[in-house]
Amino acid sequence: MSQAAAPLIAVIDDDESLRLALAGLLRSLGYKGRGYGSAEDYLAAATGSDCILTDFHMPGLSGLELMQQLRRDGCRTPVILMTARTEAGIRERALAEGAICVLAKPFEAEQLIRCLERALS
Amino acid sequence: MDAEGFDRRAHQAAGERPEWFDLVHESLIVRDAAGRILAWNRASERLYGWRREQVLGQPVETLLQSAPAELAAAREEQLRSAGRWDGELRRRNAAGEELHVEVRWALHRDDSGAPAHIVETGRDLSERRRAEAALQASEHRYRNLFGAMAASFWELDFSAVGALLRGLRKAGVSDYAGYFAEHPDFARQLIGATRIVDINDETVRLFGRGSKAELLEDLNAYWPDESLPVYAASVLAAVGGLPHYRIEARLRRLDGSVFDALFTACFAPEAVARGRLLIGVIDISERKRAYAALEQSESRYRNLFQAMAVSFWQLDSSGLNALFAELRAQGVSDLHAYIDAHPEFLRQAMEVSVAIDVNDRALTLFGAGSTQELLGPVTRFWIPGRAEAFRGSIEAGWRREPGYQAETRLRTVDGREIDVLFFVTAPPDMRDKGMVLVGNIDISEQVAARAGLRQAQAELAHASRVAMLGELTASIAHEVNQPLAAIATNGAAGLRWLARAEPDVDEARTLLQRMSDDARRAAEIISRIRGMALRRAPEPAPLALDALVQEAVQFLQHELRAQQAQLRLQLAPALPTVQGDRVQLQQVIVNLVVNALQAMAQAGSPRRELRIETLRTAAGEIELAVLDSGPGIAAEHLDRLFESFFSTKPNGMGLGLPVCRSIIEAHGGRVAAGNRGDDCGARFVVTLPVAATG
Repeated sequence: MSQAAAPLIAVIDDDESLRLALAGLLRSLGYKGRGYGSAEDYLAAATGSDCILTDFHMPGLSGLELMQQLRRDGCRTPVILMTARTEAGIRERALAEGAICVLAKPFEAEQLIRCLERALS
Repeated sequence: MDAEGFDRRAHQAAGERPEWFDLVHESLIVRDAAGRILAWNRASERLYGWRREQVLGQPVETLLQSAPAELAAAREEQLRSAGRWDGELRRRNAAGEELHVEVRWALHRDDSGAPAHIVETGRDLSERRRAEAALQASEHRYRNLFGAMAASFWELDFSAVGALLRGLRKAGVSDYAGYFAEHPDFARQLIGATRIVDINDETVRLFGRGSKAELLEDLNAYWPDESLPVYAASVLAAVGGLPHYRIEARLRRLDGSVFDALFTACFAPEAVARGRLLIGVIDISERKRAYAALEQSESRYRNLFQAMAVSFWQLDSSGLNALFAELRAQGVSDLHAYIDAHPEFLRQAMEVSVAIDVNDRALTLFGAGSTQELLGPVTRFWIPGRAEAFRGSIEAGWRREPGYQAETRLRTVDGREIDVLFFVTAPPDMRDKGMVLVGNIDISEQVAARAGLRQAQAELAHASRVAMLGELTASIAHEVNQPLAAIATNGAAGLRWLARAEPDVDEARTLLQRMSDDARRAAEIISRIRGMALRRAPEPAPLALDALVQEAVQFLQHELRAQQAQLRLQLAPALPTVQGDRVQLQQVIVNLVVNALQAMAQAGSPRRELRIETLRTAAGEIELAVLDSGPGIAAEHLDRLFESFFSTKPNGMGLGLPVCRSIIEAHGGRVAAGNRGDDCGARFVVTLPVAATG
């Protein structure tokens, strides 16, 4: 995989250290990671991406709301949701709305890789 | 005629002057019919101060100036007619002083029957007359006193009593006391045999009805039966030769009323010899009444002292007064400062605070078998190093405060330690007399109950904290998972950098550094939660409220984010500290904020704003307010919010606010709920006292 062909993954999480960690992991996997502190920041940047890796619970728009808005706007960018919460129903709801994967924090790198592969295939 | 001539003639007249002439103690003077001195013995020299050679031939009347002079003729007439004259004359001695002389004259006639010479014997009565005059004056003085004294006096003639007693003795009675006791009638007889010689005005006033005469009749009138033994005893005292006899007795007035008297019989030997007796009577009924009232009052207080279910100690504080006086003399004005500088003074003060009486309850409380065990210095009852209350009490005494009280712990005789409410009562005039009353109320049970209550309160606070953590579980899980996820992610990335054909050590190092930071962050979060979840006794310490608020908010960061709420802090700078338990006070803040968040969420408030304010009130207290932009509190709920098991939340237990209130009240503060005046929303206000300094 050449650098130019490396897919761009948007990482949206209000927790900076996790955002940095995820971007670092993506880089080690050969992806290009770009971090955003909130869904609003991502929308405002309007740069687009090959895949969105977003936290579920965030101040402002939640991960699910971001996905819904993108879909409404006709954007089909695959979305992987992450959540640190254990509330029941979140996972099912997100999958029903079209999320590729829902990852429960903390998750294994392999889980993320598998999700990314599915998202980008 | 010269002196020798007279002497010779006297010798001739008196016959040969015999040897005894100068040896007799009486004055012997021989004079001729014309009154000229013929003989003058040594005793005359001593009596009149003239020597024989100075007087022989002198006319005796010129020399001795016998008085009364106007009776001189009558004396001479008697002498000539009867041949003798006896009488008392006043004469002058050589120094001109008056003498009282008892003289006897005898006339000797010559053979023709004409008066030849007169022999005079003389005896000095001056000394006796002077004594008599003094006695008279004294008698007069006492007679005045007798009449004028504000005490009742009786002069009694008991000669007849003496006769009755002698009769008794003759009849073989030797034990008068026993006899009187067995024969009260005899005592009556004795009294009846006593004649009233005289009484004074006070006697008339005290016993009579205005007339002195009616009082002089029968002594029995004044002696009620109950006082017969007193009369008998005074007779016995007289017989026993006592100089006086004094006793309290009940006596009767003429009108029949009986009163308390102090009765004194005086047996002056010279009066007793004449069968006379002086009795003094003082009316002491008033004094008796006052004393009885005092006694009653004393007994009332003594009963109270004994019967109270409170341990009472009477202390003699005169030693402490003396120590105080010494300090004041040294210029000490602040005892507190003095004790700071001389801590050994406390022990000295205990040593001179001496228990002189205790009540029954004190015996029980202090495990003593007898009063004696508790008497003496109070030192041993104070636990070394725990004498703050003793110190407080003597400092209050120094400031002349009438009372003092404090809770303290004391040691009993049997070595136990007891919690007591210690109180001292010593009005300044009592303290000046060295009297201090100390009470101890056993509060061991209350102290234990208080400790139990504190314990229960702490446990409830803990339970409520745990419940609150439960409500925050999702938030907490997120909070903890966040750094853990970062660590796991960084770890995975690091492994990949190192697994490359050319391991990227720099990337790996950067990631390891981040992992270490995230691990620390996770540890901090866990320790914060652990602090809240841990069950432990409150640890009061001075706390800065703004730091407390900042830490509590850490807990809520994620919850606030999740609830999309904005929190603003308006913390007053440089507030004084409050005394309290960090975890419990944080619990209150977290609880109030969570309540506000839930209320806003439940109401679906579109704008969720929270504000925490701190400020110092005009009264000097510290106030912490939590304000929200929710729906506010319904009027009908306002009064019930702090009731246990009252909740407006569907799944609320209704313990959060009651526990908040019990925590704040245990901190000496209060909590109130209300609605914001300016805007919609609720407002909870916690008020806490400022931590005492020093």
